[in-house]
Amino acid sequence: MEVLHSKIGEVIKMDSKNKIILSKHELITALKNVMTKMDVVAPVKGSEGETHFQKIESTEEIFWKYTHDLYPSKNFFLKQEEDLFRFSVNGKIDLKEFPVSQRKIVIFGIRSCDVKGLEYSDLFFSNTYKDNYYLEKRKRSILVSMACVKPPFDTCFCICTNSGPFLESGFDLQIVDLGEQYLIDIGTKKGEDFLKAGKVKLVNAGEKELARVEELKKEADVYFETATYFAKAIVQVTGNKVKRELWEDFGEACISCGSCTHLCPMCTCFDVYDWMEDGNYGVRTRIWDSCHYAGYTREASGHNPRGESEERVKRRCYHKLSYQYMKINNNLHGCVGCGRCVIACPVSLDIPTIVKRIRREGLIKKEIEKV
Amino acid sequence: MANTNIYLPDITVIEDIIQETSDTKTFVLKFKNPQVQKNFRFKSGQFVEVSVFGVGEVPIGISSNPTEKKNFEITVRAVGSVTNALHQKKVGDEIGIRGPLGNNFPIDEMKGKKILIIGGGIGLPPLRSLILPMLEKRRKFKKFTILYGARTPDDRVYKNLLKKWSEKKDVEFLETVDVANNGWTGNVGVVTTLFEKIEIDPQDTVAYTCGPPIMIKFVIQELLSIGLPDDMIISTLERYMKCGVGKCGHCAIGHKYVCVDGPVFSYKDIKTLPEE
Amino acid sequence: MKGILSTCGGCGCGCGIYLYGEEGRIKSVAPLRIHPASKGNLCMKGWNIHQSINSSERLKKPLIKRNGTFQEATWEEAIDFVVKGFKKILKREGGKGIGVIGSQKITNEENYSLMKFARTLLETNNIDLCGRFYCFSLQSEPFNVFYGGSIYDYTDELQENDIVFIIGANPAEENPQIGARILKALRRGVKLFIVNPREIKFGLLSEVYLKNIPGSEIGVINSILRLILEGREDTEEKELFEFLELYNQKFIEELSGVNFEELKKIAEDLKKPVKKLILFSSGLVSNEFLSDSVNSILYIAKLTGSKVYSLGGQNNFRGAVEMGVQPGYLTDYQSIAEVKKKFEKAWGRSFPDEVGLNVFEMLEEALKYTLKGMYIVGENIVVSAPDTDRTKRALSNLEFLVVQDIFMSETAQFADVILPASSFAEKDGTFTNLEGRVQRVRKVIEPRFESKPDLHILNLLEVGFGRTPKSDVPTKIMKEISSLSPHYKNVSYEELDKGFGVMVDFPLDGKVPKILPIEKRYVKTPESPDIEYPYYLITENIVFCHTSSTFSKHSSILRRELPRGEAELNPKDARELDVRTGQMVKIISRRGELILPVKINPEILAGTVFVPLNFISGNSNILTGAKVDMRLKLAGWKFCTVRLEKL
Repeated sequence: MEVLHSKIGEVIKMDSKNKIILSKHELITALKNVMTKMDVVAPVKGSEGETHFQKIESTEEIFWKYTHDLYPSKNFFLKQEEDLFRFSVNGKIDLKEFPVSQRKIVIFGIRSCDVKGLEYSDLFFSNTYKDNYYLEKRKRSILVSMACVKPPFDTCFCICTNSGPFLESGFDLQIVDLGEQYLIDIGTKKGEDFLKAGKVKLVNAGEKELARVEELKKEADVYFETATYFAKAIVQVTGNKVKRELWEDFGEACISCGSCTHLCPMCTCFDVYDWMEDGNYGVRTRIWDSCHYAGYTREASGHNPRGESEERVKRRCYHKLSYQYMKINNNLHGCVGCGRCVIACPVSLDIPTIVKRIRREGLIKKEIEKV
Repeated sequence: MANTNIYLPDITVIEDIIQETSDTKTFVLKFKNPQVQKNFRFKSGQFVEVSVFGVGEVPIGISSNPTEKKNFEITVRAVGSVTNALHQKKVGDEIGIRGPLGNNFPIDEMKGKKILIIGGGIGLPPLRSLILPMLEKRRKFKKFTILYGARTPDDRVYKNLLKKWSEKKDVEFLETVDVANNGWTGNVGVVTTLFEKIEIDPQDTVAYTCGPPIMIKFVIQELLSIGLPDDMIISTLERYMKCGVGKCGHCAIGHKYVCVDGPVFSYKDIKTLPEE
Repeated sequence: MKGILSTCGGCGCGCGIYLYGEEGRIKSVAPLRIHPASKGNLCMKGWNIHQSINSSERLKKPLIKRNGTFQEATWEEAIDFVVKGFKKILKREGGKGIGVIGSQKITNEENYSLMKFARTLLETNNIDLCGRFYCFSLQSEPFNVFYGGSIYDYTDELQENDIVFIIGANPAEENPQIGARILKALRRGVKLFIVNPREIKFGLLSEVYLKNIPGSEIGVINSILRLILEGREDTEEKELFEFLELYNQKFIEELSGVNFEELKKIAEDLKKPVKKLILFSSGLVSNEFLSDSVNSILYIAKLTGSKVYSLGGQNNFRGAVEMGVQPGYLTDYQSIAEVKKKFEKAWGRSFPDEVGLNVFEMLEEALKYTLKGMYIVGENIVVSAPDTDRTKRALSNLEFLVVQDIFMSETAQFADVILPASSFAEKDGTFTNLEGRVQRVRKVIEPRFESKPDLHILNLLEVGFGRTPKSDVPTKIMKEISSLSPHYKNVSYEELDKGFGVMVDFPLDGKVPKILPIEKRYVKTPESPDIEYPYYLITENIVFCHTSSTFSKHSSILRRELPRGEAELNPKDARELDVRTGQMVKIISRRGELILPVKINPEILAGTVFVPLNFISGNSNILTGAKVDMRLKLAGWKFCTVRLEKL
């Protein structure tokens, strides 16, 4: 496949001139100003204490001490259920695309792992053929990320996949909480647009603030310490050297719920189906799909190349761990270390566990391992 | 493709329907928009996504000659809900088409070689889009052999064309059926049994094959044992496809997408794919 | 888009699910990380449940059958028609001419209101659930098994050398969250014993896996019981041991085809002083010795200190039973005899004394033309009841049939009036999951098309009967339920909004677990393989096509999972019949026939054929026969022998 580099946002060269500082009060005012022109999505506290990213009507709704949303931010661009176009069926066929909003949307507080996931999706949806449904939304969006110093969940491992907690690129703005104030990395022109719309007075960060950021980065290294070393697993999976028995063991455990793929920021598979609104008009819609479902590869003849659950687990691992995929995708890691699969998988077939077991070549039948 | 929206089909009108076998029909299609028809250029081996709105969309190989500009043809067997709904359509009805998609059979690179084409059952339609333009330039190739196998004599597609090929003096044409009926005087047996009846020069031949996966498997085995090099065995890979543009993920094998990097693959390429 | 927390309507696990509504459709679903049942997970049904809610094939308007075809009607017309139809029967033969089927998918408040409506206005105690055919409530009489605590917590606490014993169940497919916890427990060193004719997930990780001849479960269980009783000192237990001498090695090996030494291993381990969890489901329930089997399991549980759970019901099976959708019981397993006065006082209306007909008996009476009218809510009885042909004949005999559902179904085809109901995303209410956790169901979108929540429909019917419904909103109804039902005494909408629901599974004074005297049942199955029908038929739920597969059929993703249905055969049988995978065969039983492709499965017991209970183009109940459970008169259907013809 040809790879065309996506041009979602023109990147600005990173140097100290592009870091500014802002007080919390100033940031809130900026958001208020932005909200008059753009939609703002921010973390909100749910009734059960969990974090949810949703569109806010006022800055009061923002949950500043948020952790992370189990539901991935990819949903703002690759919707779980999205109508593609409407058609009429009687006599002459008429196809009508749905109107697209022109309003810009700010994803405020998005985490580095999700930003990295979007970097991958940007490449994926623009290579060879351009998926405008995704790309149009991305063009209108501004990612204002919030770097993590402490891992939001104890399952985070972005440090092992080069996707956080502090990023050098991929964001439009990256906010670092220095305690009394924020340091903002301006990554792209879109980030500048946000600051303009927010009517922010640009005050460059000084040595003290920059030093504090370096301190925080060192602290984060300690907090985020995890032992998921991908290298060996990548080599084994790419070279197809993983023992058959290990895949069989994984397949025996997998209940094909699909949660890992639906929640993964790097997963983009979908199904397309037609449905009728009434006798004359219908809609073609796409919905998130999962390579873990048995019917995902079944052909009309009934033949299913991945009929066994172990083959499906192997497929997902190939997509996440194979070097072949990394080569096509600017050497982006196949996993962003967000830890959602660790939380969601009820049988511990998450990427860190799989990587660990491939490394140790362990089989489970009689092995009691505290993973 | 004409559209900037890669998922939005163009409308075609069914100009003609030909009943090939009891469950297979050929549809002759022409784009409603003459500009779209004018700009529609495809290469042998490519496919289109056919929409029966309200039912769904399926990928079908284009079976007509790419040099024909006025219309194009698809040959469809009724196996699922969309293809069955398609078979209910009449001349003058409209259906949606997205394409041409996928890669193509290599032709120009193979000039001067001995051509061996092996088709099985419903695998013949995409090969037809290869054979017709090649036969127009027959002299560019040293030799031309077509082997065709079908389940029964009634299941043979393009019966008139098969007769024409069998009568052509510069084409070696052999066919066989798995199960004969009364009146069949030709070969009986799977298509690989025809190999004994021809001479294949492993140094100078390129083989193109298309058909049911199990047939392709045995044909490739046979060709390798004769000594054909990997990159001279051209086949098609079949996978369930949905979007046809490398996004939905259904047809992915390893890091390749059958709808974009295929469906035409040389055996050399197939070998690099992870075992699946 | 704001996500609203509700409870999934897919199965009895009761997972928390966020539903995001936009423009009248559900656009996203998401799991809840800290939910005690699902812990951040959703199964395939949960992820795609919104497709069936969004489906444009939903019933849109009330339909009245005139001259053999369904015609659209207004709600006024339809309600009027229903009321007139039932009043006519009431006048002529009273309430005993009417039968009501409740739903395992609708909310507690709706089932309660339905039950109240049936008894007080339709003047009948003939009200039941189709779940009687394939799931079992251990909390019901006579067993009254309440443990207190959550099955999820219990399974999470199992340690190395603790035991899980599965008989006639497939947890990973029926209740994925429990299946997953069992796997996790296995990884901690918990031992797994399985008795099931067909292979289930995690079978390869089991200590002992016995593939028994279908129907022989009672023999296997009594054999294990006997082995556990061996050598005990207590007089009663010694007597029982001798009484069970029938179940010796020779007998049990011949009857069930299992290896006696393996059986001994199960019994030995069950005697150990560790934690034990016994799980059973429709594989055990759907046979003639249902109550005897459950009874013996409970005896084993008593002797060994095990906990027993029944799996496999739909999302609100337990709630429906606890709301009194039963012929002889009102809410909370209280018999009519016990509490009639209490309820009549609370309702301000009277209702009949006699215990009503159960679903099996209703079909019997309909066949005899003594049952004249039925009101079927949220249930596709033609597909979920055994012996499809018999069900169809029974429904055709009825004078008046009202079906209330969200989709057109095979049952609705027989109706005189069809009332379009709303899904669980379009109303407020509660579900009670299989472990007795009552959880909130919250309205996310407005009722689609002209459908109405079942509660509104019942309110309209009550008005049609000339009564103003006293409790007409879920909060009020739950107050009433809670005041009349001891286990539900702590359930209120305020409590339900805190944390994750309210547990109603706890032992009550006065309701102690009872075990009936063990009886030696004649164990030869009534329909044994013979020359004409040489194979046993096994049918089971599969994860994508739960029971009557309403949700599965209308989801493009779930429908894809098993498009045609396949008949699984052991390679030995396939060779004898000279069939290969993909080849079509005709499966014939004494009651009907099916044409399906073959799938060769080396894991299945030789001499058996497996057909999923439900698949897109049909169901296996065309083949099965309905036989009444010997002891407690529940229905069973496993005994079905078939022959196969190559096509």
